[in-house]
Amino acid sequence: MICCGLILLWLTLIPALFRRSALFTTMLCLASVCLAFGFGRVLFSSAPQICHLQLATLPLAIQFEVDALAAFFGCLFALGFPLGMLYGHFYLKAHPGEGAGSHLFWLGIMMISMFLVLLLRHILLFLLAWELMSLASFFAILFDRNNRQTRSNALYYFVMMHLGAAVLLCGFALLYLNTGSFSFRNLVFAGLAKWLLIIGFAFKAGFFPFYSWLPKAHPVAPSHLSGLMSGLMIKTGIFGIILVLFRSEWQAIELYILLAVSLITAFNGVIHALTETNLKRCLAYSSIENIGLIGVGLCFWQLGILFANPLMSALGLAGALLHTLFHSTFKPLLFYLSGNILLATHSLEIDSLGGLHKNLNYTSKLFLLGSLSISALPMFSGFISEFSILGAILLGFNSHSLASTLCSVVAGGVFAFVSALVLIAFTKLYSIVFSGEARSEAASKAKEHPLGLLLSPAILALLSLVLGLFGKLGLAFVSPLCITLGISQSQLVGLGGLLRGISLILVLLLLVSVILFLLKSRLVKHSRHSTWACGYFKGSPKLQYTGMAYINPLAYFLKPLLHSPKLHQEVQGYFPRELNYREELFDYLDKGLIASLCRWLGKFYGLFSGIQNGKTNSYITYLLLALLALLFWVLGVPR
Amino acid sequence: MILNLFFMLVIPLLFVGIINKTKAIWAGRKGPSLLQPLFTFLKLLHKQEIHSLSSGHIFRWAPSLALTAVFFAALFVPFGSRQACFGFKGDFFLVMSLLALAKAVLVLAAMDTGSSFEGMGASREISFTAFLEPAFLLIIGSLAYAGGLERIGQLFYRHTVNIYNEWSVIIAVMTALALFIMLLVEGARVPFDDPATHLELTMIHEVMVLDTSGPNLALVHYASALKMQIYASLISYFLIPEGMGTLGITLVFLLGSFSLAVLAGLVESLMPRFRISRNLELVIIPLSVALLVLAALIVHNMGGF
Repeated sequence: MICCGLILLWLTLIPALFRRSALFTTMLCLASVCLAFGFGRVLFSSAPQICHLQLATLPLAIQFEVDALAAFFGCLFALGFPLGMLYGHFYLKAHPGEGAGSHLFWLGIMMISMFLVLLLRHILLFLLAWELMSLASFFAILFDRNNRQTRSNALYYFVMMHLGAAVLLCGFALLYLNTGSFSFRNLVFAGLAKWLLIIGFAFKAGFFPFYSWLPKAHPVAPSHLSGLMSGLMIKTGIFGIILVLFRSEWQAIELYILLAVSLITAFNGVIHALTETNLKRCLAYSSIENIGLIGVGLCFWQLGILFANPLMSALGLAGALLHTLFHSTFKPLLFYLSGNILLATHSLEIDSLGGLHKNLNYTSKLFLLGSLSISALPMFSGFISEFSILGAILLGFNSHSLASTLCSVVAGGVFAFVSALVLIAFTKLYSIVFSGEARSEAASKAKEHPLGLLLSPAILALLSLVLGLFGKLGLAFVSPLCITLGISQSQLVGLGGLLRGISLILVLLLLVSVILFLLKSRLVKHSRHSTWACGYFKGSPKLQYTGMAYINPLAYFLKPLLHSPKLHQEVQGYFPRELNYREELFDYLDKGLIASLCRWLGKFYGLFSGIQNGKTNSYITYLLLALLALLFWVLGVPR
Repeated sequence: MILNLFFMLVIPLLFVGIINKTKAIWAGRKGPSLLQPLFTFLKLLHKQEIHSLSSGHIFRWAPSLALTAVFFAALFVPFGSRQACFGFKGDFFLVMSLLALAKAVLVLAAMDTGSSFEGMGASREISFTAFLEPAFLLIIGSLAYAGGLERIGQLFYRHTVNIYNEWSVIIAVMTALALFIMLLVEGARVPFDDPATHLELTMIHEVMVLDTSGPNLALVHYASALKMQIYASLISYFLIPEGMGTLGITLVFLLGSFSLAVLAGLVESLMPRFRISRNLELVIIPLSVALLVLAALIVHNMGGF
């Protein structure tokens, strides 16, 4: 079934070459159905499947292995790709570009390579697939290639991915040296190799301090691709990290380091998501924050094993996997809708939007669902996973072990702080973009899109609502993998019972609030009037609160952590005609560390730039010097 | 269970009435009747609603959802009987999130009107969450430290103040202090917010619901009072010794809530409102107090001092 799906996926490349986007999407859907069935069967039967592929021309047999881990992520991808491409098809139609053919082709390659990454357990082939994934996504980002910003940001992504791949290569090379085997199917990762592998995967997942490619690559990629990359592709990094965590022994101190890194990732991601003014960049930072939360869950999985607390370990892992699942529903949803906003208003700067809930009625409602899900509010999917992770953290508060309590204090405090900040960031995002009155002409003239652009967001929104109301469904999806990763069935049953109780309460809550609302709107008369402005009238939309103003009380605390150079003119004269003010937010890591590193590297290479100076006489001098050196060498070597 | 529901419906508005009465008596006035908030509530239910022209669907359903969310959160907190209506191990996160949901939809509704005043209120109100959520979590953590994670009601009920054990007193006093500050912040009371102020620029909660009117306003008022009462009842469950009869529990609960309302009224009478721009720094107090409690517990457990 899986092989059949993969072959179908290869065949999709043919219509892609001929720019037949509709055919491409249909074939992709077919392939995904095959793959979803195949992976689903392996996941729920929990018996690993191995198939060999002997190619006559190749000296090595290609071995696909479908274990529960691969099957879980495979299912995610097989569900996410068709929805993404469905949206992508309509997006490309509404936003035609010259590179559509090659874009589709590379998109197809990217999807194939993402599946291959999951299936291959041969070091060289795995690295090849990994490389292909980065390369294909790089070319796919270049859809809008005439834009200079796109080219430079895509190149940044490319370089970062290759740094990650280089670290990964070192890790695998070390592994090979230690074991002498190219297959890492049943290997135990140890020593330096496991750290190198973790770092290599962390580049892809977007952990601190390797995340800086996300806020650069996502805004310039076409929206369906940003959704696919942020929702699904970074999960290959999580896949790798789970693999490494599972297959190696971890000391307490190592886990503390990983926990600290995850917490920093989440915190750093969310403060940037809070202050960022570009919609897609904000979503990219929020992906980093979500990856951090998944990391926290994974750390508590391992910490639970370390502290001999099986329930903590179960809740941590289940929470992390649930969050992985949910993040791949609500994050693509938000990215696709930001694509709708871009198409309607040609702007992603949130302070120039506003009031879109009137013109983009359905988009606004779906975006609201996505925002509430990502803010982990009850009735929406993010809540279930954060509940589980927080449960793991809370179990650490016990009087037997100081280490466990301290871990929980730090993790719990940061976790709650982060989740509150996410709430602030997303209420800000929704209310500045959709609420109130339009702040620009483009926003006031926006038109709602046809069904095609709303279809896959609607499916995703529904999915995230259903998964949020019925947490047991999500748990049923992740529990086979949890059991394979060493969690006992009884712990999961306990969690399942809890989630069933919660969903009962939440459904009741939804019903009661709907009844209350209907009753009220039935019985109460209402009239419409302009907003109260304290006696003034004819207010301008410019008087509305802006995004920066909204977060101002908190920005006071976060200022030391954010790098924001300001440019403003001094007021001159009694009646100043015009004033300019400009404030931009930068990432310390990107503008500080990486930029200065690049400068140093540039300076270092600059030392050698004098060698090739374009003068013939100096080249002849090099030749002479080389000949002389050779002569001395030949004469000097003793016979 | 019925007792819980009865008190949930009756006490919150009475709580606000007691605060107002205390303030009036302290100022030498006779003051409105204790039931005045209830009368206002009933009066508002009969009024017509006015919706802002800028607002959309959220503005309409937000108050109902906010009230339901707070109500469901209150179902997990015992009100006068030994057990809450609902409860499971680790339910505090659901309570916390339900309160956050109520706050979030009200903030979205405020932003929906496009008014800069309401934006200001919304921004101030939601900023408090950033420091209150960790504080709440750490308080729960410190209560769970002694005997494992339990239902939220049990966590507070189980902790008994024993005057012969100075540790239990320290922990109870400090935790109660943190929770009381949270009550003042969440209930939008002086010194963090002044519900009686007349200038929009200095309001927080009141300005956020500036455009809300009629039954919607009634729901918001009730939700806010109920939210205050949740904290008050958590604090009063500290005082209940283990093994007390049902009648005793109810009495202690009522007495505790009453005295907390009086205390809140006294604080309002005696303290001026803090500077708005420095408000958030003071909201960190519960967080630091919660950390202190935890530190004290850990040190005590390790056999220090």
